[in-house]
Amino acid sequence: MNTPDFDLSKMTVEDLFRAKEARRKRLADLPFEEKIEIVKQLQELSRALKPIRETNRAKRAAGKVEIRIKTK
Amino acid sequence: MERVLQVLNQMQADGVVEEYAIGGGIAAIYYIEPYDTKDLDIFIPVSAVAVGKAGLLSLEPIYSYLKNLGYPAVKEGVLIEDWLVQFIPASETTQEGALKNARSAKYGNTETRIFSPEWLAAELLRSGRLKDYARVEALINSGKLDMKTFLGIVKKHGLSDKWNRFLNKLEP
Repeated sequence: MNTPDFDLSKMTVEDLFRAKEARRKRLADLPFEEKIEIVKQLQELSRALKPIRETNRAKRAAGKVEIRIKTK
Repeated sequence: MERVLQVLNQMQADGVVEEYAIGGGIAAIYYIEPYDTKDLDIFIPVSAVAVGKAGLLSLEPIYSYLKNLGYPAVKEGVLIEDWLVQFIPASETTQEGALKNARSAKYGNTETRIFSPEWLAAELLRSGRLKDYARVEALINSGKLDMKTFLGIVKKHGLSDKWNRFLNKLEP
């Protein structure tokens, strides 16, 4: 699935929404089998991220979140 | 996924359930863009799982049939070829309608049945979670849903209030 190159500096917010909508439509028009392949990849990604998410959740619950504010 | 559908078709051919249809997230993905979803929701007639006259439901016949094929019950479903399959008795009128009016679909060389976009949207509207509303919106925007049919289902199944609440949420 090739994505055309975009020059972000020349894009408006409307262009971004249009591009997003076009991508959504392109994905929606894929054959069912290809969509399920994408779902499986997303499931794998979600599984890989699960321990990281759980660690972060535990940190948040314990109030151990470090928030760095860049001033310069 | 194709193997899962073959197992379900075999289960139907063996008379464990008289019919089934795919609903939920995977049915939505059939019509809209793919997103992460954990399980495959399979809707079955209540009659397939009703026990006695008291209206009790038991998925035991389905679970034991699948267990004999080597597919164990896990969490709230059955693990078939890496897919967590949830069997949902169609107890709501929109679920019954969606099951009855499900359309044929093909995955690879395997036939299956899947909720139509109109019935799926109605069932999601009834369910009423925020993520369900997002899918209703996506189904409407997909252009694959016939609004007249959908609104007819909404009216017939007493979902007009939910539809109005949904429209109010869309307003800026």
